[in-house]
Amino acid sequence: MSNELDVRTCPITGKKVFKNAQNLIWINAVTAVVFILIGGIMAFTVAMTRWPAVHLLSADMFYRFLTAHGFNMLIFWIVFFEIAGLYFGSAVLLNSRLAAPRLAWFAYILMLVGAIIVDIMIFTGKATVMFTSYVPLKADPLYYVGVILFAVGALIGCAIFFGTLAVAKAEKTYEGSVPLVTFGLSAAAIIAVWTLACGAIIYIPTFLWSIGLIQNLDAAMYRLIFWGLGHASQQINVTAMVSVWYLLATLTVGAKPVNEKICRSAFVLYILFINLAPEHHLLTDPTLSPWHKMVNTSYMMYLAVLASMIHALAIPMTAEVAQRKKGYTKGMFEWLTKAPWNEPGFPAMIFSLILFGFIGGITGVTYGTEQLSIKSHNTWALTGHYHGTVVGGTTLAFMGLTYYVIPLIFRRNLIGKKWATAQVYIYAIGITLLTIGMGGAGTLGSPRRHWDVTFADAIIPFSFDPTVILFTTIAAIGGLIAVTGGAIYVGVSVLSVFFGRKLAPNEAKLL
Amino acid sequence: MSIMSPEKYWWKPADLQEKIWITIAMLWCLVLTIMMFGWHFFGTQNPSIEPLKITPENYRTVSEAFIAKYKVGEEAGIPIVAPPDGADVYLRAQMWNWTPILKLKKGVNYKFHISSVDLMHGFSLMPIVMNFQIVPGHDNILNMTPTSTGTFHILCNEFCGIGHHTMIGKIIVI
Amino acid sequence: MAEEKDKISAWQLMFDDISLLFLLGMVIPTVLYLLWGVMEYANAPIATITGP
Ligand code: HEM
Ligand SMILES: [Cu+2]
Ligand SMILES: [Cu+2]
Repeated sequence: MSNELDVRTCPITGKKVFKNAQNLIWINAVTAVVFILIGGIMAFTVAMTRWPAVHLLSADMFYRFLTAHGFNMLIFWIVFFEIAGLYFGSAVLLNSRLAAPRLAWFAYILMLVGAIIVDIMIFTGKATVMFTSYVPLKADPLYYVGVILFAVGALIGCAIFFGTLAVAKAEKTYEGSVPLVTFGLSAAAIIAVWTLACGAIIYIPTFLWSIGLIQNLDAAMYRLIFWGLGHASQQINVTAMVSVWYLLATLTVGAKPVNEKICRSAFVLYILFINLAPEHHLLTDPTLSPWHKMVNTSYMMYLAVLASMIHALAIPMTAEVAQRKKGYTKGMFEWLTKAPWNEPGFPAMIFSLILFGFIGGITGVTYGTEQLSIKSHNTWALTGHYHGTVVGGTTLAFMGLTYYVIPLIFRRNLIGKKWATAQVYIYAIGITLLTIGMGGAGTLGSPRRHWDVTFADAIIPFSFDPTVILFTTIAAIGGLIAVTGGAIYVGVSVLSVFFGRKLAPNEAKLL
Repeated sequence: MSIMSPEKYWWKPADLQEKIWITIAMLWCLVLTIMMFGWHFFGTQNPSIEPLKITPENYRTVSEAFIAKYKVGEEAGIPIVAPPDGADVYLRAQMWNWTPILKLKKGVNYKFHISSVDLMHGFSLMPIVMNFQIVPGHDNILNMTPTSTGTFHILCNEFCGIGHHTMIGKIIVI
Repeated sequence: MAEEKDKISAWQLMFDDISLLFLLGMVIPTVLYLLWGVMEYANAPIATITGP
């Protein structure tokens, strides 16, 4: 086996890449893709069950698979990919070795074992509790063990990120400040530590409760602390996604941040205030005071929203400036029309930005007010909201990035660039329809996590306005398209990683 | 390049365009904040939060007493209850029904106490789509005045086990 | 070295100091969201009524 401290110089970026970091990025990213595959199959079955025309699964299987879909996608796919991203952002971007690679492998194994335990519990029907597992709904104690193992592993991953920052600083592998992408990922890692701490605070007592050592857990308090994990992890996703946007802008059009101060200040606003956001899950909860609700849901006067608004300007701006420097200066929009739309990275970035901002972001900020939360809480519109943010936004950005990581870090030639590019468009169209369908049906009251919106065996007869079924159908068709896009993603990336031509050490080929 | 360290002194003033955008965004955030508080204090459609915990056992006792006192009939095995004007109304969420069916009067204010005796449930009033989280151990107190007559249904929109999708309740407003 | 540092804006130095940002990132949500919320739930009155 080659020495763990082997170094190569990246022929494209000139960065030093250490073997130990490279291997860990590889394993975490590949594992992430395995989980998006599982989650994607679940997505298909769940979407087909919600569609009354097909109604694929039995109720038991539906709730089981829905739990699996949420967990495998939202937690396993995203977090494994983020850990790979953290190692990339620290070790590779700072020309450094990874601090404590052994520990990083240990963290990986903890996460993997945790994930496998959770999946076994869910698929054997011992943990049909949705990924939220609200008490007093009880899962098998092993389920909580799996969640805790996974969270501890992820927490160690964050520690290794910070350790690598310290190593790089001590060994002077870079000069001055860290690159913007690394800075953004540091913000994500800080948010992650708080998130995972909330996870520990809530899952350890819940585990003790499941084995009978604790008698009473306050269900409302569970929700408060759980969302410190459940929602704050979405803020990790937002922050990591924005960092990936900057990264994609650089990789696709060679963009350079127009003003580092502005971009970094926006990330600092995230660090300070974005973790107040879990509150918007609690707006229709009893007991909690309006003051707590208003101060927190507004992220302290919407300062985290301000940060997103700043990124929303800064990212297209960096791309525009870079394009204009290349000579695309005709009129207002030549820089945009002459952008590399036929490569996966650029459309992935733009669609991710649009889906996140216009579908996910706008619904998020509006639903996060007391009155509109009453209208949308637990309806399918909510599911539509985060299929805009984390599914359209984060996942699409990560998909786009994968196609660059394959040649850059894994040194394999991408197989099927055309497919990769088409995938981005297909997936984006699918998610757009999916979110419109979910949003429409939800606005008319269609509940989330619901096996049968025709209420065939309800105790008191009830049926929806047919428009609900129409929107549900749109969602299902969008879901099919999105699943197709997701399948192409898995296909292209798996084929390339394992069977792509190995790039020569000095081959500066990106796509 | 956002993957390279920035120049040595990067703390530089923003451009005019950036300043304009950030100022507009900040003003908008300020408007949103003022609206959020304004709507709460001056709007008329807010959850009327009165903090109150209630054990599931106690809640069951109270709601049973409520049903026994004002029961006027039964449908699908669920009692129909017609409380007097302005009464405290107890609506119990349980696996998998909303007990009782309520008969209310248009234009009369009722103080709802909604809680659960087992798992979490989701109160979703159709067709006007108003949703509240119903948490065992806590009394979700809501002051509501029906403003139109007719039959309203209550769905459950929080997962509460295998029968979740069958859980439907009813409010009749006369 | 010390002179050079002087020319760098204090803000820039602060932003380069991850541990400071880390600390603030932990304290603000812990106090405003978690502790405040837990206190409210813990201090809420418990109903003693037994009838309508
Ligand atoms: C590939 C296309 C996808 C489709 C067609 C799809 C479809 C669906 C559907 C139909 C539901 C069920 C909603 C309900 O009954 O309440 C759902 C729930 C959910 N999805 Fe997806 N999804 C996709 C991708 C993703 C991805 C990539 C993520 C995360 C990164 C994700 C996260 C979730 C979560 C967290 C839930 C909620 C589960 C719950 O309520 O407990 N989905 N999705
Ligand atoms: Cu229910
Ligand atoms: Cu339910």
